[in-house]
Amino acid sequence: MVSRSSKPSTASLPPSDIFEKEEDRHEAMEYNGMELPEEYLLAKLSFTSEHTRFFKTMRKDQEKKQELRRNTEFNFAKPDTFNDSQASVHDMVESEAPYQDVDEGLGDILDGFQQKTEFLKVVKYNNKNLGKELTDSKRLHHAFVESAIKYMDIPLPILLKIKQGTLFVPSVYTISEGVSVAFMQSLRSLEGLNESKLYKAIFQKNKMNDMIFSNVLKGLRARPEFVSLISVSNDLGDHAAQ
Amino acid sequence: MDFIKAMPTLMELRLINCKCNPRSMDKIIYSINKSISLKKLSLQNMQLSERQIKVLIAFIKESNLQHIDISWNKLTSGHLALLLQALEFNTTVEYLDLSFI
Repeated sequence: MVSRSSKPSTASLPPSDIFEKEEDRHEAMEYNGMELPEEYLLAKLSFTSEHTRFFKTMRKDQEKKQELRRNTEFNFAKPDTFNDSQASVHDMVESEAPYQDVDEGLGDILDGFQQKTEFLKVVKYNNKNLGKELTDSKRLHHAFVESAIKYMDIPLPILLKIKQGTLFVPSVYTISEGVSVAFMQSLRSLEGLNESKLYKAIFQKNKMNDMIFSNVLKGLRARPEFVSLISVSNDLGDHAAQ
Repeated sequence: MDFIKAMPTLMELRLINCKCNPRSMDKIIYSINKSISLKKLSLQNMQLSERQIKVLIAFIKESNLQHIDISWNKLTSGHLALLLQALEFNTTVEYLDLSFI
């Protein structure tokens, strides 16, 4: 046992390692007569001088990095919220956020860009095909319009009204002579339309006179698949009867 | 009506409230009379004359019509008696509309 009263004088100071050893010894003395905890011993063994040096240099490096980050262009003018005790948690998070997620953010942008590119490719492809279908349809309507214009009549998009093989022309439409001629000529071929078959025609009070109705019937005659004709409140004269 | 002749596949003809002179109506009735494929015939409010009605009834007797609508025409009791006699021979009619005659 070493007496606690026998302290070394200041004139002959021992080297610092002696104090450390003394401290260790004192610590060990505290556990004198008792079994030292295993965790304590392992911790003591692991904490060697090499480890201490490593932790010290690592802490210095971290401080240097943080200093550099604070002095970047983005945060130069901003207060040091991260190390400011007065700053809120939100400020701290905000001050660090752009740098933590910069790689992830670029990845997201790249993914979004690729998705948009794929989407635009599909849109372009669809537009190209749709345009092709419309071209055939337009050709038919162009002929229809030309026929109607010869009679100074405003053509109606009647052929587009064929749905599920049925053409229904409601009373709001007045079928004039030009339209009926256009009708007669255009019904010969419906290949350009989405509906290439015409099974049924319904004319509801379209103010058709005998001649006009006759033209329409001539058009319908060109359709071999036609099976049903319904006419409501239209004129039937000699021409139509013929 | 040449239209009916030219359309051998025509199965349904409905002329409803159409203005038609007697001569034209004669032609239509005559064409209908020649039709084989017609299944549904509707001549609502077509102001059929007595002779036309008789021709039509004669057609009903021998036709394959399934659906007949001659409502809003001026049919007399004599016409109805003829029609009932014609229907005795017809085995295809499923629907007959004689409203407001």
